[in-house]
Amino acid sequence: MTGTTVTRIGRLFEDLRKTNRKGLIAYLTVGDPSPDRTPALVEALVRGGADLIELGVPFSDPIADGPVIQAAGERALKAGTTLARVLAVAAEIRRTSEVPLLLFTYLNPVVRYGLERLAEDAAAAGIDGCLLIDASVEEAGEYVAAMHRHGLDTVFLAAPTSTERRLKLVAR
Amino acid sequence: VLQGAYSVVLQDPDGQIALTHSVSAGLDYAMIGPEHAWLHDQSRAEYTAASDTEALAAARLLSRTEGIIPALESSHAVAEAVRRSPSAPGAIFLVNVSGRGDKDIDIYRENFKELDSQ
Repeated sequence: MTGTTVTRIGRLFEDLRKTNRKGLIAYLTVGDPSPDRTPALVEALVRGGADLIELGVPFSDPIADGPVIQAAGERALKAGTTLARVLAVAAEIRRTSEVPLLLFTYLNPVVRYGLERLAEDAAAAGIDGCLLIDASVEEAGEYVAAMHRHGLDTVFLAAPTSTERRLKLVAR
Repeated sequence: VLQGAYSVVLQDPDGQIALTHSVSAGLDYAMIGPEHAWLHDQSRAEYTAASDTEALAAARLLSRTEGIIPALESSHAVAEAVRRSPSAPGAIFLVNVSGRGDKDIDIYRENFKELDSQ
């Protein structure tokens, strides 16, 4: 999952391995209830023991989410949350915290924003990696290359039903 | 990219999918099939639009003149043929009337009354 540089995410997993500790990864829909309040919520998650924060970008058609995140996304969109705003929130969190940040988003807002532009802006905002929920690993070459060019990690999803061949692709 | 397909999508500048409306349930969707996006990009097909009212009027016309009750989806295509026919006298139009209109009979009953009263 790593590019040439080791990100905060890479260092976290190294540290977890060394200390034989399990990591706690917390997801949060950015902008619920409003973008202004997300940094304080992330701070609280970290205080509560979260090792890594997934910053969720709200999307109008969240096909991979259940009712809780659907409702959170709706509230966040109503509060005016965009991908650009999420990056600004990440930069604000980064000013006071070294917690690893993973951008968690559907593909369409990213296609609209531009892959290269996102990789550049996300890196500048202090984000460490990106997870595109509905991008299949077979079609993700261009996206992975863009992220790695800017020193960002990429994360892909695996399911209990994923085949060996797919798991190998996802892990690479 | 919507529901796993890459195509032409109705969306806002931030990539959020737009809400849609159509009297025809089969057309009430924010994306077109990827094949159509491809044909459009190659300029091999021309795409036009018809309003709910135009589609309903076309359905009524075809039902009354030919005894063929088209589905609401295909009625949009019939409306395009009606729109073009005055500028192409003698031409033969081929319209693909897929499906069947009896599934839409309640919508027709309701709206034809309104069209008749105008």
